[in-house]
Amino acid sequence: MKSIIKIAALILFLLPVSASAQQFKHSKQVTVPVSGNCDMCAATIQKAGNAKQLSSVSWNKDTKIATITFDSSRTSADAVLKKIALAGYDNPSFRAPEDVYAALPGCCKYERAVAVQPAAQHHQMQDHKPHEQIQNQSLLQPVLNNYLAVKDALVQSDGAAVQQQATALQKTLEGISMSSLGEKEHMAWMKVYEQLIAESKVMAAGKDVAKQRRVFIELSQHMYTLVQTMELTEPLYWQFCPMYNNGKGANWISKEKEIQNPYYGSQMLTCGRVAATIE
Amino acid sequence: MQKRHFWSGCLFVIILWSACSTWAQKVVRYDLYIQDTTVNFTGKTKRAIAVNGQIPMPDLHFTEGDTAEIWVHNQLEESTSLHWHGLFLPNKEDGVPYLTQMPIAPGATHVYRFPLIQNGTHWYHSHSGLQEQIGMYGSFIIHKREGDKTVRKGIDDLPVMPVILSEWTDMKPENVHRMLHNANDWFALRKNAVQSYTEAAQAGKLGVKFSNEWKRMLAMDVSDVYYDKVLLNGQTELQFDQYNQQPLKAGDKVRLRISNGGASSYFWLRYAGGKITVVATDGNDVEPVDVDRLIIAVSETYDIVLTIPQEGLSYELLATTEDRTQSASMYIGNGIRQLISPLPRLRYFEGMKMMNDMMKMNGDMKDMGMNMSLNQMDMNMVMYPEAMNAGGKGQQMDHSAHDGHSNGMQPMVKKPGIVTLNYAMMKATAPTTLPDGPVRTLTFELTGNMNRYVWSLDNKVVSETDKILIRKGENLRLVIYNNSMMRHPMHLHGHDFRVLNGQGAYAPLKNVIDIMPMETDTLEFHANAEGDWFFHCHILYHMMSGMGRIFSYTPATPNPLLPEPKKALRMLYMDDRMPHFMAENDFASNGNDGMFMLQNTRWSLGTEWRLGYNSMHGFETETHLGRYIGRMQWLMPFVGFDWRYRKMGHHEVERNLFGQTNTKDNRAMLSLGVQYTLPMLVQFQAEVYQDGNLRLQLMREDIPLAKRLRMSFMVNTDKEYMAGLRYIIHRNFALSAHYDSDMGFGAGLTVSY
Repeated sequence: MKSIIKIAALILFLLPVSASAQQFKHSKQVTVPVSGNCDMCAATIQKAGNAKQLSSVSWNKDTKIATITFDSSRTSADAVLKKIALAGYDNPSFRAPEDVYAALPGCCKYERAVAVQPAAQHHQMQDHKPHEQIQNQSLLQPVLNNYLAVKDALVQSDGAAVQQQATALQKTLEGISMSSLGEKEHMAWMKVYEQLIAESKVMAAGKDVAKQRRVFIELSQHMYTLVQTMELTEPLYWQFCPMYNNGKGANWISKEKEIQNPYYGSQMLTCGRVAATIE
Repeated sequence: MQKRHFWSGCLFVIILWSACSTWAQKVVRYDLYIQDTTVNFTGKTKRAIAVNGQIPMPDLHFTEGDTAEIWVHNQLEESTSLHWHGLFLPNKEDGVPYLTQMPIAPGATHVYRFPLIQNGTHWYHSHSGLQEQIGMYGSFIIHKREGDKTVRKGIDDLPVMPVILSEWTDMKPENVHRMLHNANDWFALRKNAVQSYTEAAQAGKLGVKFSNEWKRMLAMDVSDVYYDKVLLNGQTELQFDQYNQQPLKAGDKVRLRISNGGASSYFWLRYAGGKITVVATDGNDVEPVDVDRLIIAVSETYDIVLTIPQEGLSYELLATTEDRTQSASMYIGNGIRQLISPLPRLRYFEGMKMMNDMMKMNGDMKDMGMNMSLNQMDMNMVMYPEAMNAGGKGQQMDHSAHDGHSNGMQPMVKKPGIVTLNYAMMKATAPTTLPDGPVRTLTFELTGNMNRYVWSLDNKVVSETDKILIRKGENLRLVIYNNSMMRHPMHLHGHDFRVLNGQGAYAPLKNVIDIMPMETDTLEFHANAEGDWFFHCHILYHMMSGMGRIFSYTPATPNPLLPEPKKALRMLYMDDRMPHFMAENDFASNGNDGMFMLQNTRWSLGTEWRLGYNSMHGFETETHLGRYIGRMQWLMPFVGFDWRYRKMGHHEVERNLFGQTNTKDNRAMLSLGVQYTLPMLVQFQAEVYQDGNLRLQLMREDIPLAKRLRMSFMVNTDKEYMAGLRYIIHRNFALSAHYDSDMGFGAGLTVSY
C-alpha cells in the first residue's frame, strides 16, 4: 500500500515536470541551488526565470533547489540564472547586484554565500538608493540646506528671498534637538549654535542685502565649524572672495566647485577661489 | 623550483627574441581575406561579411615604428575598402573609396602599406556602403616601443584585452537605411518607444504629446535603429579570466582597449567592481580619471583600467545601448559572476517635454543661455530614472549655475555620486599646443531633420558643397554648433584635433568628438598632411545621407590611386544623392489605395492611386515631382499630373467648393502646386490645374493613436474626404479600414515596403 502511495506521489511529482518539459522543442533540464527564503522568493525566482516557449523554473523553498527546464536551442541554463540573479537571487553562476539584493523585501533577505569585503562594498554602494542616503544623513543636513538657500539668495542679490530663507534657517536651527546629535557634531553645535541663531535672526530682520552680506561673513564662519564635523554625502567647497570686506576677504560654503559669489552677486559672480574642500 | 626556473628562462628568451624581431624586422604583414558568410545571432540565418573567417575582423597588432603592410583580398561579389580609423598615414592609404583610392574590385587584392608614427588603441572598418554594419570592423592596436618615455607604469604593463563593440540587426542594412529615410516607425515599435497618444494619456502627458506634434516633431528617441543584439568582440558574453596563462586574481588591474565599432549605437559602460579609470581616448593618453560610467560615442575608443576587488568573484562590465534596449556583458576575473543592475528604461515623455522646451517653432534649437559644451550637461538626464531622487530634491546638474531653468523646464536633479565622464575631465599627459602657424577659424552648424532623415552641415550635404581648401602649415580651428536634435560623433580622418576643454596646454587629443544637441565645441588641428580628408558624422546612416565635408590640401597633389579624380568624386557624391524607394498598397474590399515614392535629400517623386473595382468607383492617379525647400523641409513646390477615369452616370457634374465644375469622366491634367507641413504634421496642399481648377487639401497619415494603431484623414475642396485606421502587425503588413467619399467603406490589408 505504502509503495503504491509512493509511486502515486512520484508520478504526481513527475507529472508537472514532464508536462513542462514537453513545452519546449529541445527541452533540457537542470537543477541548481538558488539562494532564497520564503514563498515570496519562490514567486520572484519563478517569475524571473519563466519565459514563454523558452524556459520555466520551479524553486523549492525547503531544498533551495531550482529546477530549470529550457529550450536548449534558444537559451541556456546560464541565461536563466542570470535573470534570476538580476531579480536578486544568488546562484552558483551569478551574484545579484548589490542594490537589487538590498531592495528585496525583508523576509527575502537570505544569507549570501559570498560576502562582499568592505573595500568592494564601498564601490558597490555608489549605486545605492536615495532613501538609504537619507538614513545616513546627518541630522544637521537641513541646517546646511537652509544655509545654502540663504547663500543662493545672496548670489541672486534678492534681499526679500534672503530674509525668507534666513527665517527658515532660524526655525530649523531652533528645532534641532541637541541630544540626538553625534558626539563630534554635538561639540561643534554647542560652540556655535547661539551665534548661528542670532545671525540668522539679524539676516531675517530686513531686506537690505548689504547688511545681510556683512552678517553672512560670521554666519559662514560658524557654519564652517559645524560642517567640518558632519557626515557629508557629497563634498562641499569652502570658498573665498579676496575683495569683500575692504579687501580683508570673506568665505562661504558651496556645493558647487564653480564660484558663485554671494558677496557681490552678478556684479562679480565668478570672483573668488576654492580655499578648501570639505569631505 | 628547477622547473620554474626553466620556464622563466624560456619566457625570457621568448621576450628577447620577439623584442629583437620587432627591431630587426620592421615590416609587419597581415593578409585579410574578405568573404561573404552567414551568421546566426538570433535564431535566423543572415548574410554577413567575415574577414579571415571571423567577425569582428582580426585584431591587428603593431609597435610604433613598424611599417604596416596589409594585403586585402576581396573575395566578395561587391567592391570594398578598409579605413584605418584614427591613423596618421599617407592620403592614398586612408581607405575612402572614390576619395583616396578606387574601390577594391571583387576578386582583386589591394595592399595598404604605411609607417606607424603613433601608438594607441585604434580600429579599422570598411568605408564602402553599409558593410561596416554587417561585420567589417576590428581592433587596430599600436603598442608603444619598449623604453618609450611615455610608457606609464601601472597602465602600459597591465594585462590587456582589445574589445570592439558592435550591434547586429537581422534586417539588411540597406533596408534599415531606406526605412529611416521613410520615417517608418517600425524601429520605435520594436523598442516600445512609439510614444502614441494613448501611451501619452496613460502617462498623463497628453499635453506634451500635443505640443510635440504642434512643433512638427515625430516621437523623440536617443537612437534611430532597433538592433537585435549587441556584441563584444562578436559575442554577447565575454570572459577575461587569464592573461599569459596566468589566472587573474583579486587586486589585479586590467586594461581594456575599447573601440565602438557600432554603426549607429552609443554604449554606456558600467562596471560591477567599482570605478572605471579612463587612461586614454582615441589612441591618445590622458591623465587617469575615475568615473562611475561613461558613454562611448560611435567610433570613439577609450582605454580603461578596471580593478578586481575580491577573490571568488568575477565582475561584470556591462555595455548598454544608449536607448537601453540591448546590452552585452564581459566578466573580469574568476568565480561567480557579480552582476551590475541594468539601466532602467528611458522616460520618453520626459525627454519629449525637454525637446519641446528646447525647440523653437521654426525648428531651431534654443539652449536658454546654457552655453552647453563637451558633454558636461546631458539633457537626456531628464529621461534617466536612475539619475532622479525620489523626492525630486537633491543636487542640481553640474551646470545648473547657468540660470536657464525658468522656462518650464523641470529642475534636473542628479543622484549624488554617479560620476559620468565628460570631455572637460580629460587632460593630456603632455602639452599639445600646436606648432606656430596662421590660424583660421571655420564654423559649422550641424543640421538635420528627423522626419525626412536628412543630415547635413550648414544645411548642405557632401554632394552639394565644394571641398574645403586648406594649406599645409596652417592651424585650423573648428567651431561646431549642433542645431539638430540628435547627437553626432564627428570624425576627422588622418589628423588628431585638440579639444579645447579648459585644460589649457593640456587639451586632450582626439579624432572623434560627440556633440550633443545645442552644444558648441571648439577643436583645433595643425594641417600637416597632403591630399583629401573626410570629416563626417560617424553614425553610418548619417554619413551615407551626406553629413560631412572634405578637407582638401591645396595645392593638390595627384593621387596615383585615383586616375580620374573628377569622375571618382561624382561617384562619392552618389552616396547621398541616392533616392530611397517606398511603396504601399491597401488591398481593401472597396478598391486599391496606394502610392510609391522616390525621395532623396531634396527631391521627391511620388504617385498615389485609387483604383476601384468598377468604373463607377473610378480609377485615379496623381503624380507629383517636387523639391523640398529650407532646412526643415516643410515646404515643397511641385509639378503634378493627374489622370482619372470614372463613369459618373447621366452627365452628372461635379462642383467644387469654389463653384468650379468638372464634368470629364476621363480627365488628364497637368498641375502646379505647393505642399506645406503645418503644425500637428498636417500636410497642406494647394494645386492649380491646367483648366484653372483649384484644389486645396489637408491630409495627415500615421497619427499614432496607440502603439500599433495609426489614423489618417484627408479632406479637400473637391468635396472629397477620407478617414482610415491601420493596425500594424508586421514591418510590411497592417490591417486597415477606411471610409472614402468616392469608394465608400472598405477594409483590407495594407502592404508596405
